[in-house]
Parts: sequence; C-alpha cells; structure tokens
Amino acid sequence: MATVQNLTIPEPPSGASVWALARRRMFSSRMTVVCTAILGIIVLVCVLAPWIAPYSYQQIDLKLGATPPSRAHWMGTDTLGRDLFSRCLYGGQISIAVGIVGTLVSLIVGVLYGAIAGYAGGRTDELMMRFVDFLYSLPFLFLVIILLVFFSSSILMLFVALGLVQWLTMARIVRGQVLSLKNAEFVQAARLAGTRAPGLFFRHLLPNVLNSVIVYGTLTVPTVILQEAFLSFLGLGVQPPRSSWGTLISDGANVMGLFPWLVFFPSLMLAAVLFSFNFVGDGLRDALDPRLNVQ
Amino acid sequence: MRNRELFVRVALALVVAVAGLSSGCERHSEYFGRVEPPKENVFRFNNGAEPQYVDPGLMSGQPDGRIAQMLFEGLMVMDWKTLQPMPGVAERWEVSADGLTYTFHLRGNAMWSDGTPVTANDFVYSWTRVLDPKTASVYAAPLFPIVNAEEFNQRKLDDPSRLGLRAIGDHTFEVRLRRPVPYFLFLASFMYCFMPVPQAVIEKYGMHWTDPGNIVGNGPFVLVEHRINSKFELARNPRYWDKQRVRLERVIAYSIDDHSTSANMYKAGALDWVPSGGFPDDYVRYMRGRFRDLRTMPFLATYFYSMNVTRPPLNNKLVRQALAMAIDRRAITDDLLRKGDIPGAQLVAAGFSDYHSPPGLEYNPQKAAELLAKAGYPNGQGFPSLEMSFNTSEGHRKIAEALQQMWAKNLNIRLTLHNVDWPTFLRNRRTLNYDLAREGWIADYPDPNAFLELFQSINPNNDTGWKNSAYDRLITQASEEQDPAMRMELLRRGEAILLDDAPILPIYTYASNSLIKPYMKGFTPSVLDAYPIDRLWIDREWREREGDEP
Amino acid sequence: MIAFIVRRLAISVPVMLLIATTTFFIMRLAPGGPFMSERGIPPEIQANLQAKYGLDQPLIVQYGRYLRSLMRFDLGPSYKYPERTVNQIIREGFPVSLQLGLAALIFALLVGIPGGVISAMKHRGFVDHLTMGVVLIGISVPSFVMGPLLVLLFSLTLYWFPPAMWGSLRQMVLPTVTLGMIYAVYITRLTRAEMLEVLQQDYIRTARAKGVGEFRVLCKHALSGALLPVVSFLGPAIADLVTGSIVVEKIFAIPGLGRYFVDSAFNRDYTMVMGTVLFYSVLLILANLAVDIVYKFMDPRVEYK
Repeated sequence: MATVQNLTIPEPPSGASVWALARRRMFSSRMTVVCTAILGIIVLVCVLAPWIAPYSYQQIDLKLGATPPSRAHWMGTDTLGRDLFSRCLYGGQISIAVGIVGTLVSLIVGVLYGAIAGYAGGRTDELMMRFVDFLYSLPFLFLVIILLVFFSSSILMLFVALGLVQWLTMARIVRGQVLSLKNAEFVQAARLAGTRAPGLFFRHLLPNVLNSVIVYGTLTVPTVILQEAFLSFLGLGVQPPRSSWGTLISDGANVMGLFPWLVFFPSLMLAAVLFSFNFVGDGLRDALDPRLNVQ
Repeated sequence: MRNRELFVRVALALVVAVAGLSSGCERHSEYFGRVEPPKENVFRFNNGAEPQYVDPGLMSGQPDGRIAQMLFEGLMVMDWKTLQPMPGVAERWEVSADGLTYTFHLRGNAMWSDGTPVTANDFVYSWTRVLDPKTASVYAAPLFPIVNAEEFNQRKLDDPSRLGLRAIGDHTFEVRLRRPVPYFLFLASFMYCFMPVPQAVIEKYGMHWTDPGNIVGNGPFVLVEHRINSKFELARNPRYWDKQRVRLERVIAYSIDDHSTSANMYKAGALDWVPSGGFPDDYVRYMRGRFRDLRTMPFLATYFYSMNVTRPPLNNKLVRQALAMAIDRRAITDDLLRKGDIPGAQLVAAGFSDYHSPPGLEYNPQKAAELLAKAGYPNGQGFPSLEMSFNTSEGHRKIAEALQQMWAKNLNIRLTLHNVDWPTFLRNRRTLNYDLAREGWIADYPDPNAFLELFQSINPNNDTGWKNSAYDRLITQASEEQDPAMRMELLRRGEAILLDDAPILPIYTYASNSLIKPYMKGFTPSVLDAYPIDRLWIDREWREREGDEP
Repeated sequence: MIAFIVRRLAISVPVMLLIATTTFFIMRLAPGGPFMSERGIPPEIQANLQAKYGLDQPLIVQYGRYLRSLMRFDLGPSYKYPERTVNQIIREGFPVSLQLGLAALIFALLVGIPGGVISAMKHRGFVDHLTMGVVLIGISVPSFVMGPLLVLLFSLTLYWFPPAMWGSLRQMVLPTVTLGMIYAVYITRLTRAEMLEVLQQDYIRTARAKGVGEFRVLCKHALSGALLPVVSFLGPAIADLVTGSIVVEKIFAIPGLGRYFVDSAFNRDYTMVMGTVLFYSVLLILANLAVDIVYKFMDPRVEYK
C-alpha cells in the first residue's frame, strides 16, 4: 500500500501565472507527458467501453472456453469464453470510478474537517486532531474488512469505506495549511472588511489550499484503486457479475497454472494506471510546489 | 528517454515470458506437472480447510473425518468400494431377529496407542459422551435410535445408565434400539460419532485432549504434529492390531483451503492427492480427457433448489411442476459445468445398486408452459418476480444464471438472482426467508434414506415448509421394514410423492473429481468420495506397470 | 523519556477498551452466528451448544464476561476451532507472521539502502535510471500481482521454489520477496532522495575536502543523516506490512495470523475476531512507540513534551 510521503506546504501563490508556470514545468518532463498520455488513453478507452469494447463483458461462450490471445480476442478469453479485453475495459470503469469517488469522499470529509479544525484553532483544533491521531492508531483496514464481511459489500459501502480510510491525511494537510494561512495578511484584511467565516473560507482559504488538495488527490486515486483491488482479491470488493481489475486479477490468479494470460493482462492494466498516476502525481507536486522551483 | 525505452523493453520481455509459459501448458503430457514420488515413504495430500475438530465425537466435516479415520477405528470400518461394513475393533457381530439388539464381539488385541486395551466400556463411554448434552455434539442425532438416547440428549432423562448400551465383560458390547433401523450398521461404520475415544485422556486434559502429545487413539496412525492451518503429520501406529496392513510410514495432511494454491502444489509435485473439491473447477474442465491424474466418480450427493412452498405462487403445485419441467438438466451438466456430474430430476443420488428412483419431472418445455397456464399465468403473464438465492460463489452463480435463462425462454418469466454470504444465506433458508434457494446434500450414510429422511416434516433440514403426511408415513414405515426389497419399494413410493409434489428442483448428482499422482496405489473407486488411507502405497516402479489396474 | 512512554501507554488503555467495545457490538449486529452449519441442527442440540459457550446469556452479560476474562489476558476459546483457545492460535500464528514480516523488512533494507545509495552516487547515470525505472514499476505492482507472477515463473515453470507453505529456507524466498518488494522500492527512493540532499551539505564537502575516503564519507557521514526518514517510514510501514501479510499468507498458504482477519469474520468466530483485532491494535501501538523511540535516539533534535 502506498504510504503518503510528507508533503511540503506551498506558499500562497502569487498570481495567475502560477498555473501557466506549473503547466510549463510539468510538461517539460517527457516522461510525465507520456504517463499523462497513457493515463488519458486508458481512462478514455474505459469510459468509452460501451462503444469501443468488441464484445459485451458478460457474453458467455462456453464452447470456446479459455483461449490465449488471438486476433479475434486481443487478450484472450476467460474460462467462460468471455472476451478479456472487453472485461478489462469494463473492469477499468469500475476500478477508476471507485478510485475517483473514494478520493472525492476522502477529499470532502478531509478538507471540511481539516479546515474547520484549522480555522477554529485552540481547544477545538486540539480535540479534533487528537481524534484524528486516535483513528490513525486503529487498524483501520481491518475494521473495513470486518464491516464488509458482516454487512455484505455493496459498491456503495465500498466507496464510503475506502474514502473514510483515506481522509485522515487530507485533514491533517488542510488543517496545517489553514492554520498558517489564517494569519496571512490578505486573510486578515478580508476579515477586517467584514467577510464572514464561510465566505472567508470558500473565497480566500480554499483556493489557496487547492494546490495541495489536487496533488494529494492525484496521489490518493491510485491508493484507493489499489485498496479496492486488494479487497477484491480477498473476495470483499466488487461482487460479480460486476468486475473490477481487482476481481479480474483474483479470478485470473485462481487459474494461472492453466491460463496465465488471465492474470497477466488485468495486472498489466492496473500496473500501468498506478504507474501513471504516481508519476503524474509526482509531476504535479513538482509543478505546483514552488518551493522546488529552484532546481 | 531512457526510462521509457526500459519500460517498453521490460513490458516486452514479460509478454514474451507469458507467451512462453502459456505454450508450456499446451505441451502434451499424460500427467499434470511433476510425477516424481517423494523420496521417503510418506504420503502427502491436501485435506482442504483446517478441520474444526480432531475429536470424532464432535466433528462433522469431511476434512475432520479424514483425520479421524486415521487416528481412530470404530467397531466396524466401511469398505469404500463395496459399501459394506467390515470388521474393525469388533471381530464379528449379531443382530437379534426383531432387529432391536446388536451384539458386538470385540477383538482381544485391539489397543490404544498408549498400550491399554480397547474394551466394551470404551464404547459405552464414547457413545454416552456424544449424547451427553454437556458435550453439545452437533452429531448426536445419529445415535437417537438407541433406547433413551434422545431423552438423555434433550435433558429429559438424567441417568446415562438407562441408555441402551451395555458392556458384558471386556469384549462384548450390546446395543439396544428403540425401533429397528435397517441401516444401523452403515451408520455405525461410517459416522465419526460412533468412534471410540480414550476416557482417561479426556478426563485428564478436557477440551485439549486432542493436542499432539496428549492425544491417544486406536487407529492405524498416530498424531505426531498438528500446526493449525498448515498440516497434520501422522506416523504408523506400532500398536495397531493390524499394523502389517499399513504400508505408509508417514502421512502429511496439509490444510490448504485456497484451491489454486492446492492445484499449484500438486503441479509442483508437493502433493500426491488432492481430494474432490480441493482445486478449482476450471482445472477439472481443463483436465478432463487431457490428464490421467483426474479421476471422476459419481458421488452420493445431489444438487437441487428448494422452494419456499409457504409463499405464493410457489404454494401452487402446478407452478412448482412447471418450473421443474422447464429445466434442461443435461445442458447444465454437459455444456455448462462439464465436470462429469449426472443430470437427474430425482432427489436420491444415482449410484445405488439396489435402489432405482422414480422418473421425476423430466425436461418438457411444452408441458411446463401448459402447467403454468393452468396455474393462471398463461405465457408467464402476471407471474410475480421471484428471487433465487445462493451463497456467493462463481459456480452457483453460473447455474442460477442458466436456470434464469431457461425459465425466461421456456416460461417467459423473469426471476432475479440474489447472492448473499454463507451465514446470512443459511439463516434465510432456515427461517424460510426466501423464494428459491440453492441446496446440496451429501449422504451421511450409503442408503437412499439418507436423502429421503430430509423432507419429513420434523426434519430440521427440511427448509421448504413442505409437509406431507403420506410421505412422512412411508418414510417412517420404510425405516422399520426388515425386508430389504420391500423397504426400497416404500422409499421409492415416498420419493414419487416428493417428486410429484415438487417442493424441490433436483438438478444433478455430483461427480467427485480428485487428482491422484500415478505412483499412488490403492485408491479404490468409491461413490462416497472416501479412500482407505491406511491401505495406500507408493509404487516406485509405476512407469513399468503403466496400464495395469491401480 | 520514561514519562513519555508511560503517558503513551496510559493513553492506549482507553483506546483499547473503545476498540474492544466497538468490535464486540458491531459483530453481534451481523446476521448469522458461529454455530450455523449446512446441516440443520435440531433446536435442542443448538440450545446445548449455545449454553456451552454462554451465548444464551443477555448480550450485556456476555460483554461483561468478555471484559473480565480480557483483564486476565484470556481471549477465550475459538468458536470455530473449539479445541483451541484464541491465545493458543495467536501464539502459534504470530511467530510465523513475525518471521515473514521481519524477513520482508530485512530484504527491503538490504535491497533498498544500497540501491538508494548507489543510485544517488551515480546520479542521472544509467544505473540511476535503471534503479528508478525498477522503483516505479515496483510501486505499481501490488503484492497480489507480484505473488502469482513469481509463483507462475519460479514454481510452476522452472520448479525452483515451492509454490506454497512456510518453514524451510526455500519456501521462504518467494513470500519474502513478494511482501518485501514494495518496501524495498520505497526505501530505495527515500534513501536516494535523502542522499542527494545530504551529499550537497557542507559537512560532506568538508569531509571530502579533508581527504576522507569516499566509502567512509558515504557510510559514516552521509548515510547516517539520510537514514532518518527511512526510520520514520518504518512506523506506518509496519502497519502496512500487516495488511500485506494477509494477501501473501493467502497466496502462499502460510499459517500466520493475517488470514484470521478475513476468515474469522466470515465464520462469525466472535472471540477470534476480537482477539486478532485487539492483538494487532496493541502491536501497532507498540510499533509506533518503538519507532518514535528509535527516532529520538537517532535525532537528538526531536523533543518529547
């Protein structure tokens, strides 16, 4: 499981040109461009699966059974004769959706929580962060496992559970930033001008923590995808007939002694996406983090 | 960029490797993976899930049973091939003319592994212990035919000396039944709860008497090591009365519940036997006709769907019959499953030589549609949406989907699939909180009654809500009938009622599929999917003997 | 320092109590019970069973009983494997998991630190690019992909290593690599980044200028500074190691503790679920504490209030 690296806290950006600067810096690395492209293509193909996939993801052909990759089936067919390429695309839809929705849940909860704690400061902040520390000390994924086992895993449950595992770090990051921004001159000025707390937060604070939220968000998506796959591998994730990359890998691993392509291709897709996400996330961090700009 | 080139190159290398591997699998060979016998005289098999109990008085699972078979020996042992009880601790036995009194004569040289003799008192103790409510054995019910047994187990009687069990001296054991039970000898030789357990050891160690070091048995092997979720290691018992028969020095029973790991271990030559159900079904399909390791046998077990007859429209017999007749069973076994299962519209599994089931409701789509119309749903119109429940598993799902399609095609009705986890599924079935539910039944003993007693009104396994007094009467009557042919006829009539009234939708008799290395000998085929481990041996010259009978 | 440890341990007591309580009640809300079986059990026998394990008592009484036995560190009998106590199962399974975890960690350190150092020394050279390429691939290949692929190649095709089980050295290779790979990769990356930064520092330049041998510079001066983040990485890594061991133990049929997290929940083995959750919570708390202490020894600047 990916562990979040200590993120650096950017200074408040000093003008609109920051984005242009960031874009230029990011695309200066060809590898980042390549990864963005890979990521873009995979996501696009998965999203457009209903139009692109050559076969339906559950069209069974028992007479055919498992066949190695061929011209008709680029990635071969699984034990029920279903086209693996199509299944990988539809599985990707689910995996990516879980990754994005899980991340959104974690962002919403984490940003709100962190912002409130940071903005309130003092006792409240102390109490709220203690609570986060406490949750950190829990074997969180195990509680998720227990919940999923006991209350059968629906896809909704999965979204929530995975999002809730991830929000803690987000809350810490945002809280730290809000805490330091709170006393910045432009915020003080707005406050003196009579802006109320919510307005202050949405208009002045949020845009300034956005950078780290985006960076951290990009790095969270692959973590959530990975955790979904992990749970699916244990039989707790997406339930059939739906499938994700995790369930495809799990199914493939079951028969890998006979049909190795069934574990290979979904693994390749998953690895490519994780690889690209991590790379793009790192690129984004470099680009959006002005502190590193000296290099 | 160098990085990208590298990435491309690594990816290419992996593709090539996989292509090489997959072609490696196609390589023609008669046997699957490595076929080198182990260097020592040791037999290694995968026993499946970790046994819940080593105590034969408490156990119920097949993995538990395989361990018990090696560690303990009952009055009689089952000959797995002929399904006849053979002498075990008892050299011989007599049954009184009224079928109520059984007298077992114990051999003088039967011994516990600590050197004390096995006596009639051991059996009185062991059977009483299983019935004792404080023991809380799940498998007390098979002993209920014994006089006062049921009352004692249900705390209506406190004095165990009033049970119909008596030791006459050290070597004569007398059992009195309350009613004749024609298959009592089968029960006593097949079921684990009839095995003797060592009183002194149990009284000394309590719940932990089965730990290695504590445990004392009277079977062909003794327990050397037990690592939970890993393995049981057993060695030949030097005090066993028939130790000459046992040719294996040691046995290692692994507890690997992951099917694909088990198949991998077999392929790599680390296992000599994988019992049925211990490796993925896909291997069965793939290996059928390709590899000689795969042994397919009919198995005394039935796959069927139960219907909740307390809910409309399933309370209508015509609807149930229509559903039954719209199932193309052969398509399920031959096209979908391809594991050698035998399609059948009967509850009693195929494979009994002296019992032949009535025909049952065979596939007939026209008739099915007519019946449904007669029930008030012409062409499926107005048929409510019913749910088919099964516990989460790819195999059950496939069958459920096939049934769904057949009913849609033949009756124009649409049922929905509902999969739940195992405990929830069992609870729903028990509490009649379902419409249709998947079910499987393995015979507890080799007799048709093992299936038919299920649907008597009082049977706790009857999860359909179906009650039929004529059926109850016939099955009870059969269990008291002394004449074997007449008994089978009564059972047959009972099954006819059941199949016609159709609270269940039988689909097929299971086949057992096991993997056996070619050098393992002594695996006599058995419809009970059980093999005499104490009679197996390793043939190091198997290649020269290829083609002979195993 | 002592006060710090004592305080941390004191805080963890209510935390444990909270975990115990939450798990206990969540579990009882779930459908099904530990003694459900495919075979219908007559109600009288079911009653015998429930009585034997005290499950016929009101929930609050059961909870009280459980807490009382917890005081004595007695986790009760496993409901699924009644011949064994939960303590016994943990005692048997944990050393295996620990071996696996340690082996993976040692593998990760042995591969990661030299990898990072070499990569930093040959900054932007071929070796560096190669290492970073492997690192990026390593991060993207989770253990449940790595495991099956290794088995496929080394056990089922080349027959070099056994595909499963635990005990002999040969059996340990594949699981260790599978579990340790991701940490090796992280440690490589961390070490490299820190080394790059440290090598720019004045004191290294001074040391070099003074003519200290390159090897000595690296080992004595640079590495000790660069290892700090590696140590702080180990805290959360231990938690992840536990999670990872669930998968690796499943793939390689290793009789460790990891499997019980999923299995005992599936089996409604109440006592076993409680036992594993509590045991691992304690373990996590201790591991984090240990990391903090080590951190303090390595970096005197860190203060503990």
